[in-house]
Amino acid sequence: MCGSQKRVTIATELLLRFVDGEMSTEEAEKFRARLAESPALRRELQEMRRVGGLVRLWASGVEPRAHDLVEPTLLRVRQAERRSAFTGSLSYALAAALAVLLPWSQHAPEPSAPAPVARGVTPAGAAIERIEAGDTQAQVFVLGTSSTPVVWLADDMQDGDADPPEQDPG
Amino acid sequence: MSRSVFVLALGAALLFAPSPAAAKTKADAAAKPSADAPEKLETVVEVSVLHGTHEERDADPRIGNMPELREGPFAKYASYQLLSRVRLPLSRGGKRQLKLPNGRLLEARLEEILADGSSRLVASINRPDAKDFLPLLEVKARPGQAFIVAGQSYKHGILVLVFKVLR
Repeated sequence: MCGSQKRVTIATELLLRFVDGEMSTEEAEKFRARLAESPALRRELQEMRRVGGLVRLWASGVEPRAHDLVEPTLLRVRQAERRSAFTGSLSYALAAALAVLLPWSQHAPEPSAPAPVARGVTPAGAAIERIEAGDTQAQVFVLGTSSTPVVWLADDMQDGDADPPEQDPG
Repeated sequence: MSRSVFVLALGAALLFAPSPAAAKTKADAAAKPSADAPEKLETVVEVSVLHGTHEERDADPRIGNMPELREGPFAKYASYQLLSRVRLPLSRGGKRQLKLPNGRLLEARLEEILADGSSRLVASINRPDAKDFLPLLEVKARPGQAFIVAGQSYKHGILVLVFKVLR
């Protein structure tokens, strides 16, 4: 990371902490002084607050329940930004999160924990939709962290029955 | 990343966030088969037939990374060997058969390709002269996704069929 990028990253980190109210009184005072001296930093702060305000405004106009999702979403966005302030991933994560999460908030039948921000790209496992196993006992499960579904069939066929008879070459 | 990119991304997402009606239409479309999809659309399913036994043998490198084989009921078997691996190209309406080592017949067909690109596959495993074993298994899977059918008896062990949708 080059020097200018590092400086901006630190400034972004400070801004995020300032917006989130994570600074001590003394630290916040120092930061306000720095803000007073830096128009660029003030613009960035303004922009950051405007983004949050836009999302909150949108949420309040759409559906009351969406409000519950906004703060966690913004928090996750900020966390993501902290992790990679200079990678292009955040824009994708943010766009994906909003495209997936906000519409979902309008249609989900029951409110629950907010959907993960960037998990829309994680492929889920195949879906077993229907099984007719006759007399065979069947179980469907996944193992560990795998998302691959397993259909386990209890086979009562004896090994002797299972092996097809060998052809006599003669 | 600059603030402007942040704001642009947010703005774009808000601008193009679908309305409830649009989102519903989209969800409906994803759940139904693609009506105007050309018939030539097909899926290729790779079927790997593994044999799990109690023999202490080295892992068969041809199987690849399958952590599932070390867990749950699979862990009861000491080793797995790849018996065969075939690719079944499936067209809608067509079916393919694969004779399994235990004499049963695996039949697979492509029921439909959905608008979201996933395939609805139907499989059965039976033996013509015996009672039904697995008359019907219906699975929805996207390319890259897999599912496993295991448990059939074979030579003091079990057969594990690994289905993977290639495209």
